[in-house]
Amino acid sequence: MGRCDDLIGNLSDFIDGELDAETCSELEKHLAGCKNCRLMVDSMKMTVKLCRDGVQEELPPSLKKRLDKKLAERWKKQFGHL
Amino acid sequence: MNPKEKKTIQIDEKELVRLAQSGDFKAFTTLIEGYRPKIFGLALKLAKNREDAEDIFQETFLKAIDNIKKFRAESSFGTWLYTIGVNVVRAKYGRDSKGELLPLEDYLPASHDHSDAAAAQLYDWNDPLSKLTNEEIKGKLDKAIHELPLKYRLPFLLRYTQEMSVQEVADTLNIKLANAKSRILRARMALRQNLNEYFSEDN
Ligand SMILES: [Zn+2]
Repeated sequence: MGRCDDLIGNLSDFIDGELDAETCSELEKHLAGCKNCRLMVDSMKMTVKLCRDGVQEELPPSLKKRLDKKLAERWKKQFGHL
Repeated sequence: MNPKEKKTIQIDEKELVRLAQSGDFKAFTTLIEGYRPKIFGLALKLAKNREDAEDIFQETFLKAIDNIKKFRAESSFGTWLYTIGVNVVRAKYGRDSKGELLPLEDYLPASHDHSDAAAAQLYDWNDPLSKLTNEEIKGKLDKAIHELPLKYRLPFLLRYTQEMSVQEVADTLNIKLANAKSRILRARMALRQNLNEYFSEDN
């Protein structure tokens, strides 16, 4: 697995740490000697990191309130009671 | 989480589902509690605007009420809930999102193999903040995510904002594992390429 194109299919698994040990060490060997692939790997890592960092993790209280009200209404409609 | 803890949670979930199916509203709200902020975060990334995101978010849980009696414990409650959410999104955006991404090879730099010419097309992202603020980059990324065709946007976001395994992504979208894997990778490459342009501006 010397060529850059050969490793591309495994790139995501490699970055996400889900590659088997043997393929992983082959890939690392390639990366050590190939700047292009290193830049590719780094920028793909950064892409996901930026995406994860940008996820909102809190529910706005006003939206929560609206949802609670709607859920209760729908439940009553479906089950006849709360 | 040790296996014993996991088992307890599964039993609790089963019991909560049973109670909810027999009309216990409190059991239902307990079931969805932890999923609410996660699904809202997902909807914000998925939707084209705030209004759509709130719609998708609310509609997912309302549809869950409509269908709770039909839930059979073939999948976890979480997977079932996400499947409902995915159907809500597909109903909303399915028709206007028929685009395709390029084949994988096209996301590689023109001559990715060892030649000097190729180096010019890959940039060192480790120094992105010297050109753009983090907020700017995130704005560009959000825009790039919204431009992804739905069939790529969904698996990418399930994988990396909801931290699902590739298998869970495949189950939630009802597609084959290999397809889920390939779509996640292509989405990631497409986004990478899209952002890459911004880092090249001064080069
Ligand atoms: Zn290489």
